Amino acid sequence: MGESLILLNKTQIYSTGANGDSKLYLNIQANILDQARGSNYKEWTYPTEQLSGAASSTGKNTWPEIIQPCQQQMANTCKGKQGCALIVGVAGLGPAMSSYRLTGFYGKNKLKLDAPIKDSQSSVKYEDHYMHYFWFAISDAAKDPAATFDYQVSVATTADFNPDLYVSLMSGSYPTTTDYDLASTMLGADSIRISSWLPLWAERGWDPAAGVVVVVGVKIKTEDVPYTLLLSSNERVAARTVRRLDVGDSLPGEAPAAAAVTQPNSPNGVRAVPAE
Amino acid sequence: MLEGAARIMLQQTGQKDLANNIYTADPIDESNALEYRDVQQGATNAIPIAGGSCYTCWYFIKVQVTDPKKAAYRITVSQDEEAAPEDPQLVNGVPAQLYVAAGHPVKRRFILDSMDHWLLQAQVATGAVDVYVGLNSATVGPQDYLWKASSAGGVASLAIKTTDVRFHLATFYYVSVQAVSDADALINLSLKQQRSVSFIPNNHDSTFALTRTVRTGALLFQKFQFTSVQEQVKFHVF
Repeated sequence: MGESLILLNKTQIYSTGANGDSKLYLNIQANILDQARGSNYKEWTYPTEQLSGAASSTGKNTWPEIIQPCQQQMANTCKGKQGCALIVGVAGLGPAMSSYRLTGFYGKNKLKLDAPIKDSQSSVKYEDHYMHYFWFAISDAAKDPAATFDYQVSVATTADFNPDLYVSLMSGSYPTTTDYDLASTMLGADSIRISSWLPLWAERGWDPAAGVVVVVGVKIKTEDVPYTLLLSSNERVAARTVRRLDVGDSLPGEAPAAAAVTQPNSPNGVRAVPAE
Repeated sequence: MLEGAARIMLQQTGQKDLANNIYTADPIDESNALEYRDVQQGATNAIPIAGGSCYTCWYFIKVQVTDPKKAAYRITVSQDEEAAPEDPQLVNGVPAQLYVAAGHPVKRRFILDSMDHWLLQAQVATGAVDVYVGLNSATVGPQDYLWKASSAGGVASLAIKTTDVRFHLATFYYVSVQAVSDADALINLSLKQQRSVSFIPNNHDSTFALTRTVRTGALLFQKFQFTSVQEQVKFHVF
């Protein structure tokens, strides 16, 4: 089952002046393909203030609203059912007209920490290249406004290929080679750092505490260009202990975290390092 | 594997390896590993790494075990002497006299830790030789070389500039000296590199400029070295 995210991006489209605030609601509707029960859209449970599975309201007319249904909830509701739908409701708050863009992400192209991914289900062909798209959300500062974050999106390839990386932040838009927020276009591997220290947040008037939806585009010349996309946390990378081995060296001598796992009776006196 | 089972994974990144960076070179699982092997209890498994495959590379190794309480292993990094017996090393400033029998190339290797220009010279006492310099001891010769010089006037000389894109630090270069004709040759082979040092005086601002070249195989690596009275400091700037 793929993962999903609903993004409500409050942006002035149809009016002038300050945009009105909006609230996002979500219900999960199972059996939408079941002709006997559930396929009649008139009987679906549309979200309201009183009846919604999830709701998001930041109270700020410039902050996006983001709902990520958890995998467990999706499985509980949808597993074994005949089709499943996310029903989204948007309510305008206050007297001003509320304009917004709504984006839904669904599929197996969600980037997860330390989980290399090699292909995307979301591919778009442009004039002279392809873009493979991935997404993830940064919620560290949304959970705790004082929290910092420091992520790294990297793409690797094999010899003689040259994928590039493009990223859009906050808006949920799919980055292109001409419309993006961050890009890395070196030969071979590329990497983009997305941290709370980026000057870009202040420059654009964005607040990461609102939650950050990141859409990553991997630009490739042809569909068969091999690549590996990786989302890393610089804090995790910095905390990782790497032992140096020179030619002629043998390990273990003593392993990191050895204190917890060392057994005097083991053949070499030391146990292995726990796998992450 | 002394106890339990494990998966060993290998990935790399290096000066001239543009395919990976420091993040993607960490083998997280087999999907982003360059190579991996499964090792069962009581068994030994090895991942061979070709010597000429990567310039000044960092190799990242990850050993993944399912249960650290039930796993014990030993991991060793060693040179494969059988696959690549070491050629004698040519030391900067120390000439070596070589007897080169016809049809039997003589090989030496050298490594440099400074980006100053260098000179490889073969002074021929008898006979005539071709000198090839390459990255692979097994294949260096007429079919595989970076630089070549032929003895003319009794000297085969290779002068390599610091900006030569094929010149890298901390890389073993292999020299193959071959007699050109059926006659044996006797030569004096020498490597000369004069290291330059810039001094930074006290109470004087010194400005250095880094020219970041496009990563198209041009200069990727710059080095500034300067010595004070008390210490020697090296900056390696990628």
